[in-house]
Amino acid sequence: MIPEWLKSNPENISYSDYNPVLIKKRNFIDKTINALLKLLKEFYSEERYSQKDGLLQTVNPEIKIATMVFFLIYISLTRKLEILILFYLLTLSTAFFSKIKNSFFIKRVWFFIPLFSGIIALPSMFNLITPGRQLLVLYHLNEKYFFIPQELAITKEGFFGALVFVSRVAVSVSMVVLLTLTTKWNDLFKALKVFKIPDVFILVFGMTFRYILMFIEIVKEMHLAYKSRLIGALKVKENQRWIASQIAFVFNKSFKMSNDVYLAMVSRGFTGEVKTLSDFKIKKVDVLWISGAMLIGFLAKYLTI
Amino acid sequence: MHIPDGYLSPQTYGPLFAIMIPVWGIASRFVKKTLKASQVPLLAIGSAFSFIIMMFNIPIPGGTTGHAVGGVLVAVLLGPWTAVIVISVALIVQAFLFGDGGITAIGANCFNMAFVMPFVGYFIYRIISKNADPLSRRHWIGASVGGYIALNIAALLTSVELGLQPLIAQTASGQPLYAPFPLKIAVPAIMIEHLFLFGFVEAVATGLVVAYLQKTDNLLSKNFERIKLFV
Repeated sequence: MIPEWLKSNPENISYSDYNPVLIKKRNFIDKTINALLKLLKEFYSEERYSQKDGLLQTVNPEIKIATMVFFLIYISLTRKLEILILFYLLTLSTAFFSKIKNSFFIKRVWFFIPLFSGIIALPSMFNLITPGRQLLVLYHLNEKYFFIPQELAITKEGFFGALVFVSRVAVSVSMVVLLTLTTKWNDLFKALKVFKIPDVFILVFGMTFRYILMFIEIVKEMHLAYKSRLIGALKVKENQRWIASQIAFVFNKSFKMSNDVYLAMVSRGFTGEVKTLSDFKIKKVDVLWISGAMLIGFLAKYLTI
Repeated sequence: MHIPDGYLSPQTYGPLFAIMIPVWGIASRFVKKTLKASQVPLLAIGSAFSFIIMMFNIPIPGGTTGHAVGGVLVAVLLGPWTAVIVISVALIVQAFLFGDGGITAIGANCFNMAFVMPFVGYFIYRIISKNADPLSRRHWIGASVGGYIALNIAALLTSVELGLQPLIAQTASGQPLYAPFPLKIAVPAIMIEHLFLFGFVEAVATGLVVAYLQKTDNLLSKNFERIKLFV
């Protein structure tokens, strides 16, 4: 016999959820799960590049990070488009010699930050924002109508300004992507020592990263569990409460865990003093890399003057 | 609100780094004194927590979602000086490993989100919740108001830093070199979405989490002891 409640039409089931057109509209649960999965996928798929035996992978991480930061500052100082283009070509060739597929590298760099920067820089090409010599007049009105500007044109200053801006962003992002792709994450944090960051923080960076991966798993499971138990739509307020309780849950869990981890560390001999092992060795490739970097720095300086 | 590389001129990110270096120094001395040896796992797990807060999508009426920064929440839960370190570590890990926020802009991003934001929010929270008993509504209201105001101040700083670029660095002919929009465009463009959208997301997230911690079992009193411990 079918119970009465199964025959009735439940009130709070939203049938719109089962509408194939509307189902595409993702809710906050799907969005969160997707973002987490994307982050994990990206991380794991990129980690394999650091294990190849290309050029940058063999350079000492401390030397690599120091030269990269030097170049980042250099790029932020330069005013010339030619230099930025030269550096962009250099990052492309370095990626090639580091056995990173150029198609993957270009996609990885341009997608999101430089592309997004390009879109936001578009309006700055016009005379309304950057006045100057006009390159291309879109329209010119004889009279000014109350809110329409009298003239709309792309200016030389605006155009080159946007070009320099986007190139600078793209070159910087390329540098950072090269650095992350070719360095194992624990080597990367260890290499931060060159900036005189205390050993305690080097340890904290490494542990943070490990716990981020762990929390991602936990949060993903919580969201999947919630999603699989949901029938129909809940009110915004209820969802907000649920999210807040999950954040609080993660906080409590992390607080308890930090105590446990501390006790575990103490029982293994941790006294609060941190020393990271240093295996600083300079190989032939490092000497080559440094001299190459210095040569490029010098040449670029010569070009700027 | 994460500023990428190439948006700020060296004249901007340099001084902000110069401000942050002593702030980090003071914060780590504070944390060392109050947390002693257990600081390492707490800082690491706290940083992972503050990274993860940004992954939670929070639904708001109208079908949109946004994520919170969590700067004020971390400050209310762990104290403002611990928050400085914890959020900075999260931002640095983001910049180096996930390409979110620039490496040259670490100083600026930490100044906005790891220094000003937790301190402003915490200050407002303390004023509103002063002498309130642990179950009082003033705690979550304070945290919520603190979250809203602090997020908007952080956004305002970000927009001013970006909007100053055409003033600071231009070629002789007036060609912009970094972020191209002047203050009168950058400030409203960034502030409108924070005043009307992300500010409320931050307020909802911060307030509800504090309210939840107040409601659930004896966590509350422990929590407030925790806070006293870390301030």
